[in-house]
Amino acid sequence: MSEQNKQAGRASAKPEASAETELSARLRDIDARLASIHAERTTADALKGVLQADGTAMARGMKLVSEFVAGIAAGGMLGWLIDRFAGIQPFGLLIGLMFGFAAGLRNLYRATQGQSGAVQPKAD
Amino acid sequence: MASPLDQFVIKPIIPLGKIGASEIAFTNASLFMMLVVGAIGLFFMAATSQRALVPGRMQAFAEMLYEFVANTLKSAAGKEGMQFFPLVFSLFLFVLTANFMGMIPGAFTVTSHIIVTFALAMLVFLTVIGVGFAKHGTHFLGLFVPGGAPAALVPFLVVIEVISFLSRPISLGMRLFANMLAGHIALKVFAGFVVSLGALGIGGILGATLPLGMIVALTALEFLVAFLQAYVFTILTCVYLNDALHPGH
Repeated sequence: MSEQNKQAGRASAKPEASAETELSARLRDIDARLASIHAERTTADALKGVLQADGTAMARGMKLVSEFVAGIAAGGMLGWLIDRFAGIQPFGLLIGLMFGFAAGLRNLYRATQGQSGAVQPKAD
Repeated sequence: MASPLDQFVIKPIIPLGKIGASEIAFTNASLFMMLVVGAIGLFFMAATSQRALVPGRMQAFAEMLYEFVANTLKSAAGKEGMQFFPLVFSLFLFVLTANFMGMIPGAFTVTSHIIVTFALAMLVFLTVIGVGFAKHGTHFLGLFVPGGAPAALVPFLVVIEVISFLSRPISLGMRLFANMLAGHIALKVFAGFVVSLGALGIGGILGATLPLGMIVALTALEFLVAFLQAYVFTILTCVYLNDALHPGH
């Protein structure tokens, strides 16, 4: 666009050399100012984009990790409690951790599917 | 240079004696919890004192808060969910105010302690269980039986669903805690860079402008996180209450 302006200016300002140089100087000035504004805007946009992407990606990652870890922790704790009360020392914890892993994956699946209920709607 | 974890140290202010081996005291955590509750109470007393038909600035803000939470609750748990509005609104305001109060330099962040967030999450969890059983009896247990699964798999799936259900308060409490803790540590670490670089002379001071800029950006991000985590906590509370009100839907 600035290029077109420059050409148009040059075409109309042919008769007088001094007017032409003055006009082209003004055009260059406008060009430079436009370029600087444009650069400012794009860097600001890029910075904003990076910050936003970082913030939401971090929040999303944190959410998914907490879902997964919470499943394992709950399974492990349940297994450990069963161990304590039933006296079957390592097995409750081992099996509890395995079920916890499965529950963590279930949580992850649900979180990424955007589903909140504990079960999918029954077909009834 | 102070450790970035110093901000989380709980210091007793007024010792109140002992129960068994554990010391009971009025700590800085208790102080800030009371400040949070006091700030909320004062704000709402001031905001609702006019009771104008055309709200002033503060009353408009209070009404906005009310409608924001009410709409969240209604969209997640339906009209019946509104009976839990006092609980949900209190939780939202407490978490939000605690998060924002933690952003004041030198202030203690109540929600950066897992026992606080976990206690709040357990409150929600026990409410869900209590309401679920009171309203639906054993029908509430249908929440744990997935529909359309082969009969041989159902016992395993029930165990997984129960563990998944038990993991809810853990993930609910841990998410808020981890976000606040991580954000505040990051702020303090970058602030530490500024101090130690600034001690290195003129080159160091020039270099210290980089982490300083980072702190400004992180502070803005932390304000966003403070609001977002309060909102996430609230919306999950609503979703869980929905399960208690309508199991099997």
